[in-house]
Amino acid sequence: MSKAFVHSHAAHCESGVVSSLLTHAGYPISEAMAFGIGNGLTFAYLPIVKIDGMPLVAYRMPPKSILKTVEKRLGLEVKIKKYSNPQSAREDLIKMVDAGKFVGLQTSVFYLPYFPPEMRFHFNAHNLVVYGKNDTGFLISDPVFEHPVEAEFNALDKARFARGVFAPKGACYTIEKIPERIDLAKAIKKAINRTCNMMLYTPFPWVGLRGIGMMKRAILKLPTHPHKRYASLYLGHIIRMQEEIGTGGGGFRLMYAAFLSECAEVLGREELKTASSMMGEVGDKWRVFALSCSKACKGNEYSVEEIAQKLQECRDSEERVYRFLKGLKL
Amino acid sequence: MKKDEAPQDNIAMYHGGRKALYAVADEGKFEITQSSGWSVEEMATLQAVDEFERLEREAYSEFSEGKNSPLGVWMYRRRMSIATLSQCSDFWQWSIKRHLKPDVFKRLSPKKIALYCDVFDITAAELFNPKEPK
Repeated sequence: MSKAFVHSHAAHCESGVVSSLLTHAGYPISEAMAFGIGNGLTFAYLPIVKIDGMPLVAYRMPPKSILKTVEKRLGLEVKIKKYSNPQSAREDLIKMVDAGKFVGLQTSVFYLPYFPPEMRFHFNAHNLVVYGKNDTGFLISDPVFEHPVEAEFNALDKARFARGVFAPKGACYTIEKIPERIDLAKAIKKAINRTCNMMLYTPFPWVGLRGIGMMKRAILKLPTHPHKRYASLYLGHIIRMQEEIGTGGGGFRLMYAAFLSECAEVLGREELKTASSMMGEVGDKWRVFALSCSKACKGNEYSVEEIAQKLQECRDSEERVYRFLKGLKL
Repeated sequence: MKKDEAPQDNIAMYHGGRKALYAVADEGKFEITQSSGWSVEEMATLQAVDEFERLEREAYSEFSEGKNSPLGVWMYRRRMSIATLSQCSDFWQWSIKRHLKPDVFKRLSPKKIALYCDVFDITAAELFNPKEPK
């Protein structure tokens, strides 16, 4: 393993960390590729699971799923460790860093000192890479930041042992082994098919295209909610889940478009370039949808029908991409 | 989204930082491009922050009138809801709701007070006398 660490700026924390760890372990891979073969893309709308009173809206698979899927698809050996107390977690991390390892960590966002105060919320599934240490703390490559950052020992302990949903329990991971031969083409085909099947044919009404339909019906019902502020907060919440939390724009759809265009080169299939630009348009439609939600949040006159119509357009154009991809018989 | 269409709204909460977005470069290929923020995103985030601050001010005025325990002020100040606080503290949601009442809060055991202090990262004195929100 090489000693020098090169920080790279990514859109999303988990795919960024996986890409960075793999690249440094000797298998260069882009963030979009890690996201794509990790089956990161999805849509889920869970009204029963509440985040600060708002339904869970997710544009990607649950935390750790990218790491685990990439591990499986490429046949890597990843070591994940959890700890019962901060002392042993910190000592172990220092040992690994001293041995020249680059370590992926799961942390909370709220306790990370380098995050801007406005952006600190209780979200426990953030990922970053620790690549060294100095006298006061660890040197960190947080993929969603433009430049490397630092965190003092105590602050990082707190972030690693935050409690609540997805409590990290000090989780850290390292890539131990990469197989000599990796069949990237096979991994790509499997991943694309799986994502298409999930989005099109899910049996669950809150996942995939059906989930988008469910959110649309919920938006249409907003005017009947007893609290006046609710509709505005609800639409703001959707925007945050789609654009704020490191999605690369358009709820990961633009990142997936980047993945598809890379696949076109790896597999030598021109049609995937078409799929990529179709997916790019989907991403743009989601951004138009976010824009129309934001007008409503500002307290301007708005109609839920118009917003729901924008969402329907996202859903329909997404369906066309998945059907097109299925038609390629990869 | 084309590369030159990536929003560059210089939003204040990035503090000069930039975020990675995917956009189409010249030859139709998607690439990472740096954005100094999108006003739509800024509005949504600030709305969420403002909502917590509004709840905190409300809790504080109820606390100063003696209708609410100081727990509510700290809960919202740390950007938590009752559900989040419950997950972070191991208290049931219904016990937290009880602890929000001033009479119940006064009688809490030092052990429970210490638990709240740990969650909020403050001393007991601070817990009982929160400063007025800005």
